[in-house]
Amino acid sequence: MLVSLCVSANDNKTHEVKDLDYGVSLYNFYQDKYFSAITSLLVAEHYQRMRSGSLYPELMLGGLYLAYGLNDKSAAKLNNLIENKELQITADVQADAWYLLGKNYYLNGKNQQAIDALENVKTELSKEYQEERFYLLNILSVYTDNEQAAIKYLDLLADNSVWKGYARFNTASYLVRSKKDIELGYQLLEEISSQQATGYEQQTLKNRANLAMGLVSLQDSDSDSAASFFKGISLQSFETNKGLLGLGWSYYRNDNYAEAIKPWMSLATNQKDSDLEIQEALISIPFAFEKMHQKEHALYQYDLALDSYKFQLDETRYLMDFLKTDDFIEQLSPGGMGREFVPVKHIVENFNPLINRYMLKLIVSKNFHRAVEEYHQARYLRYQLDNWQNGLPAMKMILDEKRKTHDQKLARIVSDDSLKKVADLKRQRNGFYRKIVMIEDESNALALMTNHEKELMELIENVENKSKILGSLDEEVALLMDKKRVISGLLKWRLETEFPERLWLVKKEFAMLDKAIKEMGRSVESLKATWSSAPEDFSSFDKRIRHKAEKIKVLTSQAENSIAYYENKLRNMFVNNLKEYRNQLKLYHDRALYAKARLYDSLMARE
Amino acid sequence: MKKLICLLLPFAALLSGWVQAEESEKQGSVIASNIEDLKNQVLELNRDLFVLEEELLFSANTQVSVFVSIDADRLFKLDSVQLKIDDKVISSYLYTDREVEALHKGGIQRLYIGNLTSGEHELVAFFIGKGPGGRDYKRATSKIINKSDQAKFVELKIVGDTTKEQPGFKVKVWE
Repeated sequence: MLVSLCVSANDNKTHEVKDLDYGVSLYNFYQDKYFSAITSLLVAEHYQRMRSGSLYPELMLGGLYLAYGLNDKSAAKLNNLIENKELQITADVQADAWYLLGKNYYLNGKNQQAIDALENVKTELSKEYQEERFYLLNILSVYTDNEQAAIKYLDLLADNSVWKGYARFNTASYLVRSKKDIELGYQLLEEISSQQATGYEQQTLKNRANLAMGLVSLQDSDSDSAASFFKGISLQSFETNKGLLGLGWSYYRNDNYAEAIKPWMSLATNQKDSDLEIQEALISIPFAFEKMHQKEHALYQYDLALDSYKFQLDETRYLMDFLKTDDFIEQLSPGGMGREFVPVKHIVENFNPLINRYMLKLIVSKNFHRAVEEYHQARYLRYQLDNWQNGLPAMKMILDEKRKTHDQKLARIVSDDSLKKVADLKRQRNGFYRKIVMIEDESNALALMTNHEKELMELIENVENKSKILGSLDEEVALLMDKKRVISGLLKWRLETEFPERLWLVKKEFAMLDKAIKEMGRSVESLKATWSSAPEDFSSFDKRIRHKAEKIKVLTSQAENSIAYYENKLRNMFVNNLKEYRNQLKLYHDRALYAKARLYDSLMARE
Repeated sequence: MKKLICLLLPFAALLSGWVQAEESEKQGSVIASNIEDLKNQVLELNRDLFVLEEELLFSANTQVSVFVSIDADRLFKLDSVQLKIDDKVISSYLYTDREVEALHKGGIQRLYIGNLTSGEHELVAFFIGKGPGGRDYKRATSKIINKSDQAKFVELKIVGDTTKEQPGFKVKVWE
């Protein structure tokens, strides 16, 4: 994994999920699926689904961009996180953002900016990241030629930290190389070489330190010490062959040729993997025999070396031809394009055995790992584009279906009676409104009579009409008329006094009716808006689909170019590496041939 | 770029490997920048297409998404999940070790996205795997979900009950 991310999740703690999409992104991230992890965060960002308000998703996006090789985007995201005051960033998130930004600059070779960013981490990071931060500051101090800072950060690393070993080795190498403090450099190397290695990484560092110390001792003509350091290199490691070769030379320097031959023989007989140490051992063996005056034996060993060189030259010629074929490219991508993450181990397992035999050092190199990772990323981009390309016609079909259904529904809705009823209701409402306004303007209390009151009023009017017929002189009629006046007066008085209250009640009921009608109106408007906007929506979808199809076409061609670029790069990497190896082999072959001729001459002269 | 330490020994093969443990590589070529630009463009396109797909196929008033998460402290090793809505199997998923590991670390899997009409629906999830002591384990959990006109998010949670030393299965509906 290129970049470890500062994420809130921890393997040993319970996980409180605050944002589902953040969790989905983590799920992809933990499977090294950076493309998918970024996409899920971007989609969530589009829909504003991150409701927790936490800035960890933002931080994670910055880290994911970095892991996916989008360095500029990553730096922009992290800088925004740090500088944008509105975000109200917490100290923890800020520390993580500075740390990731520092790592970003480091990976881009911006050493001073990386140092500044990493030194801006004010809050303690988690232990793992804190140790890595000190390590990065140590190596950056080495790159910027600041030995005091390098030593300071080396001292800050915990003794049990895996980073301490690397920092110690790097600092030692730098101090010796720059001659700034050779003594301290040696001391650091000795510390590594004398440590009890508990894991693979520590053992590797120990081997490297022993190798370095062995070489330094050889340079100082201290062959005994050199032999002791070379013996400290474990068998079955990447440094083993160098160690055996060096051990042979240590004995050779002490004129102990018989002992020198032993490790070289061990190298020469173990040719499962082929490297330059073995080739050098092959030619050094007869050379040592010559020194021991065993010329016949030396001649025999030269012949063996020559046979081996010839055999390897033949095999590597065949391998060179293979590297130029499409089969080689196929072996770089087992399992097709659809895998977002392809472990390098799976690729190597799939390789032609000759590649593993002759090019192991290239296969384990960072350059190869990075190139092959980027190659697979380009292939996955192409796969995604193909996927969408194939998916767009289905989307178009669904859109057409939706449009057809909409048109059919629209025809039904337009002819539906309910809409006419809505218009009638609105007309009635307007009639009521006018009536109420008129009653209020005219203060027409009679207009607000109840049915009972209306009946009463009609009864009074009937009494009046009938009394006219009966005549006004009748006493009983006169009494009735008096009663009628009193009742009529009372009724009118009641109507007048209750008018404001009745008007308020009528208005209240009208307001409720009005609200209901308005709501219905809104529903109708929304329905109308949907009718009218649907064609536009459909055409917008249409436009988007067409636009994306065009974009896919352009990007597919770019993705193909990228794939071709990486295939070419990887092929050249292998071809050049093999060429170099073959040139060395030829050199050893010619040297062996020359030595053999020289030896023949000397034997002939002796005879 | 590998940086050799200047040790002037006559043995080429010996020297070629003494390199610094860590190295930094500057990438500044035009092609690298083009590839970065391509990655960026495809990411944006991918986001746009997911959005387009979601808007077209899973509008909010019908959308339902089901997620799976694990917080079970290794009490349960998930092998597969089967999801039913209204007695109809809508998703079956078989997990790889990497996926299970990602879930244990706090990742959440989006198991299903689809459409449901408004109203009540019964969701049933079956979890199959290995329980405590490596025993075969199959459990189901169910929940009635009420689909409104808002997108519905349902989380199937595998939790650990350390007192009982048993895994538990819950359904959480996110509002």
